Parts: sequence; C-alpha cells; structure tokens
Amino acid sequence: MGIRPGVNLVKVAEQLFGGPVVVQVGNAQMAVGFGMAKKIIVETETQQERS
Amino acid sequence: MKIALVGNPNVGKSAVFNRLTGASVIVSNYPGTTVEFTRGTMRLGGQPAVVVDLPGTYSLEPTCKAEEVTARALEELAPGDVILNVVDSTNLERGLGLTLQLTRLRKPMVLALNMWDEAKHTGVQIDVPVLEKSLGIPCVPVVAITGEGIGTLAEKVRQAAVPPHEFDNAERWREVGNLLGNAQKLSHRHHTVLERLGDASLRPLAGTAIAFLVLGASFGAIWVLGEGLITYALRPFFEEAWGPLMLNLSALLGGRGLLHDLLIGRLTEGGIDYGSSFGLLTTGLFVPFAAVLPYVFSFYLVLSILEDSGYLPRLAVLADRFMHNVGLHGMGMIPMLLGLGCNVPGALSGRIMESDRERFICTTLMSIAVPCMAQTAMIVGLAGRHGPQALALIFGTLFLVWFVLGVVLNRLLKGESPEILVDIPPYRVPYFKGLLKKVWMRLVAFIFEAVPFVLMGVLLANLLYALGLIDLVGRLAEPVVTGLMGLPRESVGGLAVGFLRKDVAVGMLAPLDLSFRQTVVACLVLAVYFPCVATFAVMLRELGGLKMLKASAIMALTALTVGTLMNLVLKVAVG
Repeated sequence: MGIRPGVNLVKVAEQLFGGPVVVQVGNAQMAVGFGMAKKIIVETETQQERS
Repeated sequence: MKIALVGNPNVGKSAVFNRLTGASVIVSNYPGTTVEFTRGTMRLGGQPAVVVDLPGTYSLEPTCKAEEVTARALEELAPGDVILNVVDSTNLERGLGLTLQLTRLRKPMVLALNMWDEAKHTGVQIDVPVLEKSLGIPCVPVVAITGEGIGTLAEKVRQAAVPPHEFDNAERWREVGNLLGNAQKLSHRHHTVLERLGDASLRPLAGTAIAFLVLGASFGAIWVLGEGLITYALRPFFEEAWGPLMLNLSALLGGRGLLHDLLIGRLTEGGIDYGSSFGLLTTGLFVPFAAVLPYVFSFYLVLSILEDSGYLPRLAVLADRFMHNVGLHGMGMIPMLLGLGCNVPGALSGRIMESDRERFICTTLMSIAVPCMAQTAMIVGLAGRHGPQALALIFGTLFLVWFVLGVVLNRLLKGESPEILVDIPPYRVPYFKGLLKKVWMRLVAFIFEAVPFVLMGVLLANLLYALGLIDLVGRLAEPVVTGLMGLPRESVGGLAVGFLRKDVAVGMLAPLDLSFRQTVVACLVLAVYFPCVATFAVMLRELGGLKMLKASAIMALTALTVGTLMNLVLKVAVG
C-alpha cells in the first residue's frame, strides 16, 4: 500500500487509547492500526536532515 | 476483444467502467467494494468489445481474495485483449509499481491518469509525453467522474501497445523513482482549508467534535427531508388522490368479496385507513412508498454525501478503538451505518472486512441490532403513542444489545481480528450528477426488493387471518410468547409476518392495543429475532449455510433473552 523499507513518511495523527495512526506517504494518507503501527520501525528526520 | 480495467483500489476504475460502458455500477471508496468481476460492453471503432472491471490490487502477488481474482483474470487474457491500467494521478508513485509489474505480462496496455483535476489542484505536474516515452504505452489524462478525457481514452485503447521494455520486478521501485524523476514535478503549496479540516477530523478531540456535528447534522437532515416528503408530498397524494380512486374501485367491486378484500382490504367506516386495510393496492403500496421510501431516499442522499466527500474513513479511525471491543476495526462502523437505511446493503458491505471472523461478527451484529428504516418506521408507528420514553427505551436497548452481544461474540469466537489498514482520501466536494445517479440506483434497487416482499407480507397476513392459522400457531407458541414475553397470543401473526417485512407487522400488532410493556417487548423482539427475508437471503449467500445456521441460532437466542428479560424488568418497574 505504499509503506515499504526506505520510504519517507509523515505522521499525521494519533489517537487516544491505542487507536490507529494516520501517516502520509507521498500524497496519500492512510490509517494503520495500532498493533500494526507498533511494528513499523522508523528513523526520525528533522526538516534539515531531509534537505 | 476484452478490455480489463486494472489498478490500485480507489483509483476510479469503476467510474471509468461506468463511462466506457454506460453501465451503472455503484462507485464507492471503501476498500474491497468491487470483489467480483463486473462485465459490460462498449463499441470500439464500430466493433463490440467487452469491458471487465477487476477488483483493485496493489501488486500482482495477491494478498487477499479480491487480489487473487484480479491476478487470475489477468493470466487468462487472450491475445488481442487490452489492459487498461487506471492510476490515481495524485499518487503516481504508488500506482506505477503495479504498472511496471503489468509490463511483464507482455500484453497491449494503455494508462489512464485518473483524478487529473485533483493532481492539478495539488500541484502535481506530470509530463505526459515523457511518461509515454519511458513506458512505451499511450497515457491519457482523464477525470472519470465528469467524463473528461474518456473519449480520448477510448480512442487510445485502439492504439494500445505492448510495452517495449519489461521492467525488473525486484528493482521496480527504484525504476519508478527514476521514471518519476523525469516525468513528475511536485510543486510546493500551502495547506488548503479542506486539507486542514481533513487533518483535524482525524485528531481525537477536534475529530470527535466534528464527528458529533456531522452525524447530528446527518440524522437531522435525514429526518427533516424524510418527514417533509411524507407530509407535503406522499401522504397528500395517498389521501387525496389515491384514496378516492381506491374507493371508486371498492364500489365497483361491490364493497365486499374475495377480490375486493385482496385488493382494497377492509374499509374503516366507509373510508380507507392505510395502516389496517391490508389490501394489496392500499396497505401494500402505502407502506413501501409513503412510509419507508421517503426515508430510504433521504438516507441514501445523506449517506452518499458522506461517502463521496471522503468522511467515512475518518469516522472509522475515530471509532476504531471502540469497535475493538466487539472484535471489529473502525471500518466495521460502515456496515452498521448502511444497515440503518436497509439491512441488505449492510449485509453486503460486510465484504469490506478482511477476515471471515470479522465478517461474521459484523453481519450478525448488524442484522440483529441495527434497525433499518422500515424497522424504525415500524417502531415509531407502534410505540410512538406511548411517548418518547418508549422509543428511547427501545433504541437504547438495541444499542445495548449490540454492544453486549458484540463483546460476547468477540470473547467466544476463536481467532483474532486483523487491524485497520485503509486509505484516507482527501476531502472532496462531491460531483453532484454522479451522486444523484448513485442515489437513484440505490433507490430503484430498494423499490424492486421491498415492494414484492411487502405485497407478499400483506398477502400472507390476509391468508393467516382467513385460515385461522393465527389462533392455531398462537396456541402452540403461547408458552413462549405469552408466558415468557408477556405478549397476547394474537400477536403471533404479526411476529410471523415480520419475517417477510418488519413494517407490515405494525398493521397486525396495532389493533391489539398493547400496553407500554408489551409494546416495548414486541418491538424489541420483532427487531431482533430475524432480519427480513431479503437480508436473510443475502446473509445466506455471504456467510454460507453453516455460518448462517450459527447466526440464526444466535438471533433466536438473543430475541428470546431480550424479550424475556425486558418483560421481567418492565413488570417489576412499571407493572
């Protein structure tokens, strides 16, 4: 669905009590269930690192 | 020649299909809406061609049943068949992954760059000639829901080419990156109001506030529109135009006799009371057209706006944690919402849940505890005279049943339910022509389904009375119906007809002049015990025989429990 190793994503929203996390990959937003989201490992980048 | 529409879910394949074939397939943006083939025909250069709308897939390596359907259909393409690959122009990076895989099939291809208008609005610039050259196939910008570009697309299908270059599967994402580096330019732009609203709708505090506003406004609109149609259009028609016509017919038939009673039913003081006459042409037409249809129309209008604006997946995100209590994820909210209009599409939309376990829980809960418009009309019609407390009690109990039964099922059924994983589309202003067409299609489907069953229900009711079966069955069921649930023996007739259509049952129960307690129990039992036969048939098809047996047992048990308990509670509380 667009979440692959090496891809950049932006976290858009998170919920209380373990609801889904909404991320944005490119132009597409998607909701990922909490259990699944926990298993996705990301490295955070600041704005400077990205450019 | 066959033209196969392939692409990711939610890119508008069905909209393209509708445009090419002039057919009418419902276009919704829930995942998994198209799970079977849809076939249509079009004329291409004077020759007939078959167009097939395939379920959306992200890759040719299938991960679910719908994707398997597509993968298999593509394997079975004959020489001369064309692959029409539809991509979302605002999400080219994701879509081209599949496109490059498709090139390995060595079949003639055309690429439709759908949602072209949105790409322009979001600052996505695609150099079409460069893209065409890199892929080696015709690429056509289109806006499927308005029809722009479809003519060109149809022409280019005839120029479909086998891609000269076969892209490597393992490396395809790097290739996509290369391709887009040359062909796509993303320009920076500010967040629009709609985008800010879209993001706010997802956050726990603002989002919940928005959800209450949206749902409140939605139900308000449904109620106002529905009531308005009944009060200002349909009831006047039936009372002032149809009524006199039927009275004339009645006089013509001599005011009595089998045919008269069948068609017109029983007259009340020389006039027609649509609630109790039970003639095919009176009650049989009044109930579906004047009592239920206005609400079905207003419901579908509001629902289609919620669908097409992109709001529903956001609601699913907010509801997800709560839905976990009943073993479902947020998208399970949608069949429940659909079920409020009519349980049939509610049962069909169980398909958006990925696992069998979820589908079973979702469909069973919906059919037991979510009252459709006809049921709601019945409840209001029967219990309304006992005041808002009766209504609040009935609907409140239904919600409680939904929750408790959901928790129980979640606990008892083995297995785990998968997590939510769904696209959140941007907020869009719906394309009204398309929306109205969708509402019309749903309305027509409802009429063709509801009216025959209402007529059958009226017929059955008359038969039961005529043959004295009500008394007989009533005596047999007395220990349960009267003993446990406190309902008069005569109500068995209404309960029996309720299997065909819930709303017709009102007419049979109303004259019994039930008390507050009896009314509440009767409404609850009628709503819970079995869905109408149309829903039953769909559920049988969706769940299969064995699961349907399980579901039916659950329905019967729940109805018995709820009826008995409520009877007890109210006896103690109200007497």
